[in-house]
Amino acid sequence: MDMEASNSDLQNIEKLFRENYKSLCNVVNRIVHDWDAAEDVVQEMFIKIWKKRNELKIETTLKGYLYKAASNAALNYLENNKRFKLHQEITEKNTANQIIDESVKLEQKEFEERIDRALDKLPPKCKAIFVLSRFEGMKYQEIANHLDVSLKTVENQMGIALQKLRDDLKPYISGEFMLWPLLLLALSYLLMNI
Amino acid sequence: MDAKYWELLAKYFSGEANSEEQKELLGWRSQHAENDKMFKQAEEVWISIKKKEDRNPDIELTWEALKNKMLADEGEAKIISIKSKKTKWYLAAASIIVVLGISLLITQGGYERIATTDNLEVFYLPDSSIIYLNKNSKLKYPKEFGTERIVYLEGEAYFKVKRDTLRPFIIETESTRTKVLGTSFDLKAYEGNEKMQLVVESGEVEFSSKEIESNKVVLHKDEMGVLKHKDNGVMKQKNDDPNFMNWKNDKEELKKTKQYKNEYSSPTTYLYTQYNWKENIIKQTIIEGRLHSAAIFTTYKNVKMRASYYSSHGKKLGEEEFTVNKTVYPGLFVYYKYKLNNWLEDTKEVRVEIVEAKVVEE
Repeated sequence: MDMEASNSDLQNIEKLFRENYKSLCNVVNRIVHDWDAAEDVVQEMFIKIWKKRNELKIETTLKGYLYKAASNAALNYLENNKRFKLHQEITEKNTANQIIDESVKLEQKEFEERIDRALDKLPPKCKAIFVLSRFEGMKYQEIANHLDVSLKTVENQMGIALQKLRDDLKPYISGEFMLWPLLLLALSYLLMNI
Repeated sequence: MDAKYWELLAKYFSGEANSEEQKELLGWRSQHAENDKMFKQAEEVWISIKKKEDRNPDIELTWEALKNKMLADEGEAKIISIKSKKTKWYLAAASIIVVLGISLLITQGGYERIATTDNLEVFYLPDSSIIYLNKNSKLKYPKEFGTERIVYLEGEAYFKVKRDTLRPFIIETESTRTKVLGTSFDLKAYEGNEKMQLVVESGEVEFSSKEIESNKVVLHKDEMGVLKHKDNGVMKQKNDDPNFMNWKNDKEELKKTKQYKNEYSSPTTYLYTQYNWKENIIKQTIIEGRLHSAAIFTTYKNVKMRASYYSSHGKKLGEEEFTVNKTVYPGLFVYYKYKLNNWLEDTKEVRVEIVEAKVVEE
């Protein structure tokens, strides 16, 4: 890479990469729910941009394009890998400053896993739309632009997502369920102190 | 329950519902205890599905791997080539030049000469530029470059010029002068050839006739400079020959070059490392470094390194070997990191050397 033009292209793409790689991976990961796949998808995207750099012009204005491309790449990935995935890994949470009983932590983890599974059961497009809204805080119109669907599609897919998630998670959200580990904890605390 | 209300609920929780929709939803909610229950459940689901903490990818390592991939895909990007045809008159003129060249070599002694017959040669110049010399060609260059990097070519060569804006790179042939500021290219200038051609694949190159000093063209990607006859000027046109550079990609020929054989047989000659080290809180030494490859053709992997550590008196306290399990592409580098198990020692100096490496077979 001795050339001026290529050098500045390389510097630009490096900047673009450094500034966006982490959040792109996280966006894609929320949709595909597979961290390694997410990293692959995003890297693949950068390679494509590099190859097309003469048409694209690598600038920071590419940012919007990047997120759009990432959402679509994630969606494609989901559609090509439709098989149900088991979740071997649960994100480690920093619990150093929370003093919670093991059993509660376990419930919490279990519940999070149920949520992940419920999300993964959604049809790919439906999931992508929901994830972009709920996790990325995108407006419906932005989602529509990102995924090249109509606003109406976003609206009804959001409805479908919410309905399916609620149906799936119903056994765990009846209100009391969330409380009873705490009740047990309180009870055991009482018993121990008698 | 009607799908319409699910849509409304989703809109409501995501903040997309307008005031009319909000009113409609709240009206629906208060209509029936069942509706209220549904609303609460949906709300709980919405709230429970929280964004997890962002994960942190290894930006440094990923960028390095990505860059390697991007550059490896590049192939050779910048090319210039010059072609010519022989005439008798020119042959005579050329032989005079050759004689002059030799006498220069004798009097100054500061030149290297590389000549090929039916073989190719690939080698580095003193400034780390890389040259591919085609068959029946000669390249003469000073053992050390001064303020200008001037080389003399008869025949054809491909130049991958090290960027150095302060010292322009100049290739003289019998009838042309090519000036580059850092790029790679191929130049054909067979002695006595009448027609000279220069092809640029990318970059910016100034191509001029020696005969008519003021006559120069600036060439860019896919452009060709032509000198039909030394009395004519140089002209610019589109490169119409896609095979112009094919000779330098001839794998079989390249494998016969000294450079290729050396890279293949003694990987450690072409690998070098830069590193620094620090101690962590339990007095272990953490070494962080870059492993560079000066190879032109060969890709290496599984690079075995040896770290030795010394006391303040220079006494060797111990050594450890470790392997960098990364692919080291020709001319590129990788990062590595290693932790020594030397917490019982008072380490004052660390040296890292390369022990061996495997060649990635094509």
